[in-house]
Amino acid sequence: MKTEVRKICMLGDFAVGKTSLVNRFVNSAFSERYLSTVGVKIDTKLVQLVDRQVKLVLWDLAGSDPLNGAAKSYLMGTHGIVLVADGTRRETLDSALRIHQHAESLIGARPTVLLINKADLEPQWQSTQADLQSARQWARNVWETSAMTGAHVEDAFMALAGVER
Amino acid sequence: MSGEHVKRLRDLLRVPDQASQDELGERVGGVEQQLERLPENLPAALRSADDLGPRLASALEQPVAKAVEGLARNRRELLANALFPVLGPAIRHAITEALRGLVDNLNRLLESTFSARGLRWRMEAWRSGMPYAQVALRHMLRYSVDHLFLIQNGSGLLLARAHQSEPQDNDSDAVAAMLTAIREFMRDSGLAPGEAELRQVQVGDHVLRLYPGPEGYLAAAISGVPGGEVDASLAELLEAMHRRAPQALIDGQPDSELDELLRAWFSHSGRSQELIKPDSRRPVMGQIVLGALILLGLVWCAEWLWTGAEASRLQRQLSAQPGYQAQVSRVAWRQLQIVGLRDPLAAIVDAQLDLAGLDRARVHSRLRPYLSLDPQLLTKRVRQMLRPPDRVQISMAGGVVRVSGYADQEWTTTAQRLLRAWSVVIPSKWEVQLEVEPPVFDPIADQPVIVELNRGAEIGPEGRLAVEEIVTWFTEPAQPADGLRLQITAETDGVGELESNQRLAEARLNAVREALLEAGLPEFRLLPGIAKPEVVPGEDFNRRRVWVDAVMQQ
Ligand SMILES: Nc1nc2c(ncn2[C@@H]2O[C@H](COP(=O)(O)OP(=O)(O)OP(=O)(O)O)[C@@H](O)[C@H]2O)c(=O)[nH]1
Ligand SMILES: [Mg+2]
Repeated sequence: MKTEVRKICMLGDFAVGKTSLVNRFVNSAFSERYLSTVGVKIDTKLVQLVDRQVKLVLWDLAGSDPLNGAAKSYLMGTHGIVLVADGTRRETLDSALRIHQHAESLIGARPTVLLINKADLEPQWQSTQADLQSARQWARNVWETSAMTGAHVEDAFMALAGVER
Repeated sequence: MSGEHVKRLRDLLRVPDQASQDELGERVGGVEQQLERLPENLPAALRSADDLGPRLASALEQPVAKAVEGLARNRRELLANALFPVLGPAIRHAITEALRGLVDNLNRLLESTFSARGLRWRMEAWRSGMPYAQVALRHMLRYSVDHLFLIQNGSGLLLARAHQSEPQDNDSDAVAAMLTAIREFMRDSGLAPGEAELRQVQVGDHVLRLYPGPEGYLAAAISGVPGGEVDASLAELLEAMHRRAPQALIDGQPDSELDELLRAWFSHSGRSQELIKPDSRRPVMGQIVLGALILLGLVWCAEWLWTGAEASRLQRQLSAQPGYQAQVSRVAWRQLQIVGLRDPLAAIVDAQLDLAGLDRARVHSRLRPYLSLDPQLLTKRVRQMLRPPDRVQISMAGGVVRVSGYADQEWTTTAQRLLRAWSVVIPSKWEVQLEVEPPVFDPIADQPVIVELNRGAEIGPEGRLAVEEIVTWFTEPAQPADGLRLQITAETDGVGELESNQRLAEARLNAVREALLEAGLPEFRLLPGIAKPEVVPGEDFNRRRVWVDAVMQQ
């Protein structure tokens, strides 16, 4: 069977859980520890779709504004973007939107999923329903995920893998 | 402080006795020493702390992570500088150094080895003129490209790969992406100034070399010491890939054609071939012939350049000469040729060659005659044909040929006739002006010059002109005959007494005499003058003058 290879970039503010989400998706593991990503971390995952195999090459970029300076060129040849926000920090949703626009201005529109992470901490969420509604306006594919419990993590990545090129 | 005070103070503080004081001093000294030796002891201390294991690690983890994080965010160039020695030119340098060391070692090792193989190599070195170490190295060194990746630029997607042996299950896709990330990081952070990108990294006992292309790049993990030929053939492979499957490279999708090219390269060039090739029979002879040919080529080049420079120098010189329309070129070994036109009145070719410092025998001139319109030569031509007397000037400027001066009637008529007929010589667009007057003073025509005076003994304006006329004639380059003398005759009219008229005539004689000498006439040209007042009384304008006659003395 033919295997497609796709480059996916993890984008989002500092400490929103990008690395944790990749770790959950690739290794089915989670750690409480926070080790900020330096530069870029790369993982791969083979995904079985109904009709084909897709190998995802996941580029996990350092947080804050990963598109400043050097990291810009990391976006080249990207097929899809996983945009991550932290549900417990309202401002990370705004920065997700900002980063998304920046990325689009650099490489054009790409299939994107928005992950509002740390769903297991829902009681502490700052993002309101209204925020989520407005997020759905610009990102058609929005998931409330938890790297800790694994909720919807698989679904979100599979959604991106399944998008036709 | 007095002893009494000290004692009281000691009591108050209950300072221990002398023995315990010394002990205390020793202990403090010991701590100081330990502190001094802390740097050397720290590693050992940390090692022993290893027993504490996870506790120390987790204690250090947070601060170290924070520090690195901060460093990466705020002091990127610091981190980059710290990484720099690991990558880039330093590695190349190190490899070169290592290789040089290797050659040296090899030399020493093998030079003392008299094995059959050593002798064979020695023979080869002797025959080919190569240093012994180089020959040995050629036989000993092998390389092998163990992994080869074709990676799309930017995206870092792996498009094709090949392995010498079945790879352990390492994730080539991740390796490819990581390499690209490092490359991009290096490039964007200006890590390698002057180096557009990372080209070579040492990874374990492999050298990882990157070969950049417009859409994708090749990464080769090589063990052993690869020669330059690997680089060349991999660059070629990359070119072929761009040519044969450009779309696959642009789309970033694996492609069978790319795979095939990669495999084909692997089976042919993945390993260094047997290097001992049958030598050409007489390498030394061949080298001598080649050397001689190269030398000949160099000499020929030098001559060609040198003679070419001579040619252009002569060319410049001739172009500056009126009456030459010529091209100078190198025709053969040290031989020049001048081809073109030359006015017969122009400077002589040989003289030009001498001037340029060129041997006449080396220059062949093939110049055909032509009539140049250069004013200088036209003048010369007109002069040659008119043969004007000395006091006739010929000038050509602004489209006018001016023939002016003094000449007798006969010459003037001939000149007029010739000038009319000489339209061949003088181009029709030139206007001819003939302004020749009969000479005022002409000793041959035997006509005296009359110097007009006023009532007294003063020479008038016209008289002055006459004086100048005479003197010019004598002082011109064409000197008149030695025997030519001037006879001055001064007259007066018959008004007044004869005696006073005699004095007036003498005064007039002297005035002209002085005027002539003053204008530059050599004194020996003058005969004693004659003062001749009119004896018949009455007024006569015509007698108020002085005659100057030319007289030939034998
Ligand atoms: N409770 C909870 N904690 C999470 C979740 N995802 C991540 N975390 C924690 O959030 C912290 C940051 O996670 P990372 O995955 O390192 O964040 P990041 O986005 O990679 O951060 P950068 O290093 O800036 O790229 C870690 O301490 C994680 O344990 C989640 O879904 N639930
Ligand atoms: Mg991270």
